[in-house]
Amino acid sequence: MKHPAHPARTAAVLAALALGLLTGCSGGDGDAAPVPVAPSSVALPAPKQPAAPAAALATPAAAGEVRVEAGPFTDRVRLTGLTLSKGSAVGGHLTITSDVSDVLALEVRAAFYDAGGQLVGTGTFRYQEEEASTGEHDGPRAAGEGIDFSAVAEKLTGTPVSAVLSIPVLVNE
Amino acid sequence: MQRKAFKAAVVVALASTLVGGASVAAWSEPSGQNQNEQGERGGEIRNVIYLLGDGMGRTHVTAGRERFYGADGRLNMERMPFVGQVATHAVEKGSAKPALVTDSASSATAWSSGVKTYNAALGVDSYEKKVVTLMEQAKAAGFATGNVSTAEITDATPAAEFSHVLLRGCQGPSYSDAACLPKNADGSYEAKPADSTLITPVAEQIARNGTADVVLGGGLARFEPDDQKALEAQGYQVLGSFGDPALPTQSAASQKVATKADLDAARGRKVVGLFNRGNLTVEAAKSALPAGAPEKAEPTLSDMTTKAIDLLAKKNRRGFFLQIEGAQIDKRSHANDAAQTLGEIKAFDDAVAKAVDFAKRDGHTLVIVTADHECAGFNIIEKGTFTNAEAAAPPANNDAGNPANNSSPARSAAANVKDPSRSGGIVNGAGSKDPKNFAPATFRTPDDPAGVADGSPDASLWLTYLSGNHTGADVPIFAYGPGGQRFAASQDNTELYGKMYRALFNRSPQH
Repeated sequence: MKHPAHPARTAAVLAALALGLLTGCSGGDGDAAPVPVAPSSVALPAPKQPAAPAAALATPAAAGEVRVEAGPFTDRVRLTGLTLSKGSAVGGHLTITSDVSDVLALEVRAAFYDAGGQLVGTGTFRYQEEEASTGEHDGPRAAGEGIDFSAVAEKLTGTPVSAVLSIPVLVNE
Repeated sequence: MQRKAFKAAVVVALASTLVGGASVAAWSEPSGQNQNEQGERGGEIRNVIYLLGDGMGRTHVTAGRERFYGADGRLNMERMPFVGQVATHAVEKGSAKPALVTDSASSATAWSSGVKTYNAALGVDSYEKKVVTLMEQAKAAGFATGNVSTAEITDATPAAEFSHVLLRGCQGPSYSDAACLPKNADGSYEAKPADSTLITPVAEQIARNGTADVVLGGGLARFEPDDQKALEAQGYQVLGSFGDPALPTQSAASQKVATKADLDAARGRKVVGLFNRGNLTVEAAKSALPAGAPEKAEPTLSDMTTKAIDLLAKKNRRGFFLQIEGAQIDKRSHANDAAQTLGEIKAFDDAVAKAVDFAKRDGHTLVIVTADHECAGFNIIEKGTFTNAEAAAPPANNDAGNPANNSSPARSAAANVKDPSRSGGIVNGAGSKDPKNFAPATFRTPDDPAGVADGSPDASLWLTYLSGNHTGADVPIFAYGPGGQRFAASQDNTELYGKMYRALFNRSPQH
C-alpha cells in the first residue's frame, strides 16, 4: 500500500530533508538518548548444570540392561549396539540424524546402577569434530557414518549391573 | 540572501549526490510513490532491517538467479539499488593475526560489535573481553528489536546480537566444559572466567536479558521451563511450551513447538516463537512431506519476516532494528546438497522481498542484505565440462617462466579426461548412487526447453562444490533505502557495525 501524497506532509518532509542535509544528519531523533557503550549487565543465575542422575531406578532393570533416558537431544541421534561391558563401561554406536555439519560438542553420560537399582557411579563420553586450533578432524564423523563410543565409569561405589544413558550436550556447527 | 542561496545550493548538491551516486546498480528498479529509486523518503532512517544468507557467496546468488529467474532475471536482493562486497576474515585467538576463513560466530560478532575476534567467539573480542552489540544498544536507546533465524535461535549468527560466550557451542540447555570453555595449547580447559556470563548458555542469556523484543526461529530443545517463566515475567508472549517444570529434563515429549498458526495469532509487544526443537526444516524437505506432517506447521522465513516487521513496526514509535538469517543456505552447502541449497536461497530471497516491500511502503527503512561468509566453494561450471576433482590428473603447472606462453600444454590430452572412479555421472542424476562421485549436479532453468529435467546432462545449470567447509571469499552486499549508498563499497565486515550504528543513532560509534 502506498501512502498518498499530502501537501503538508510533503512540505514537512522536504523541510526535514533540507535540515538533515544541512546539518549532516540522516537520522531522526537519534541524538536524544545516550547510546550505551558497554554490554548489558543483567544479573543471570549460575550456568545451568545437567540434571543429576536419579539416585535409584524407579523400575528394576535386568542385568546388563542399558536404557536411554529421553532428554533434549535423544531425538537427534540413533543409538545402536548398546552394551554394558565388564560392568564398568557402556559402549555402542551413535549417529546424529538431525544435521551433517561438524559436531562442536557432544556428551553421552552413563549412570551405573547396582543389582538393587542404586546409583554406583557415572561416566561421560565427550566428542567434538572441530578442534579450535586446527579446524581439522580425522576419522569417522558422528553425523555421517556415526561413531563408536564408550562411557567408562569413574569412582564406582558398587558393582554395576545396568546403566542409563543420557545426552545432555549436543551442538552442531 | 547569499547565505540562503548557498544553503539551497548545498541542499541540491547533496540531494543530487544521494540520488545519483555512481554506485547505484544498473539493475535497480523504480520504487514506490513519493520516494526516489533508492527507497528514500526524506532521508530519515527509522528502521534498519539486516538480512543475511548464512554461507551465501556471490555464486550462490548467481546460481539462485539462474535457477529460478533465468539468466536475464534477477533475485529480489539483486534488484536493490546499492551493491558492494564484504571481506570476512577472522583473527586468531588472543591476537590480531588474521585467520583468513571465518566461521559464523566470528563474522556475526564483527558486524554486531565492530570487532574482529576468533572463530567460535560470540560477543567477545579476541582477548575474551565482552563487547557491546548493536542490538543491545538499539534496545537501550528505545528501539524495538527483533532476531529471526531458520536455525536454532541460539546458533552463532542470531546469538551474536544478544549473548556473550567464549565458545559458540555453549548454547544450552546446560553448561559443560567442552561446550563452553576454550582449550589451552596443551589440551586442558582454560580457567573459568570471572564473569560467569561468558560461560552461561546462550539460551539462558536470551531468556533473561530482554535484548530482543521479537525472537523467532528454532532451538526449543535449548530452553527449559524456567526460561519460559523468566521470559513471561518480562512480558513476553511465549508461543508453544518450553516443557513441564515437574520434569528434571525436557524432551520432545514434554515440549511443544510453536506453529505458524500460533505466530499468526500473536499480538504481544514481545513475542518468542520457537518452531522446531532444532533447526527449522529445510523448505525442499518440508514440501516433500505428506499433509499433516508436523513440520508443515512451521512458518517460512518469509512468514517470520512479515510477522516480525508487523510486530516491531506497530509497537514502537522510535523505530526498530531487526536481524533476519537464512541459515540453511550454509547448512545445506556444508552437505554439498545443491538442490536444497538453491531452495534455501530462494526462501531467503523471498524474505528479502518482504523486507523491501515494507521499506518501499515506509520510506524510512534501510534494508541490508549480505552474508557472513561463503560456504563450500560453490561454483557454476560450463555445461558438459568437469572439475579437477573428476579429472585423471590435475593441470601440470609447467608454464612458469615462459613469457611467450607457448610451452607444452599445461595438461596433456590423456590427463584432461574424467577419471571414472571419481566421476560417476551427474550427482543428482545418473551418478546419484555412487558414493565416490565428484561430478556436478545439474538443474534446469527457465531458459531451458520444456522437458529438460534436473539431473540430466541437458540441464543448463551445472553446479559443483570445492569442499564441505567455509571459504575465505568476499561476500556480496545489497542495500535499499536511506543511507544505503554507504554499503556500495568494498568493506570489511567490522565496518557494517559502524554503518548500521550511524544509521540508527546518527553518529559514530563511541567505542
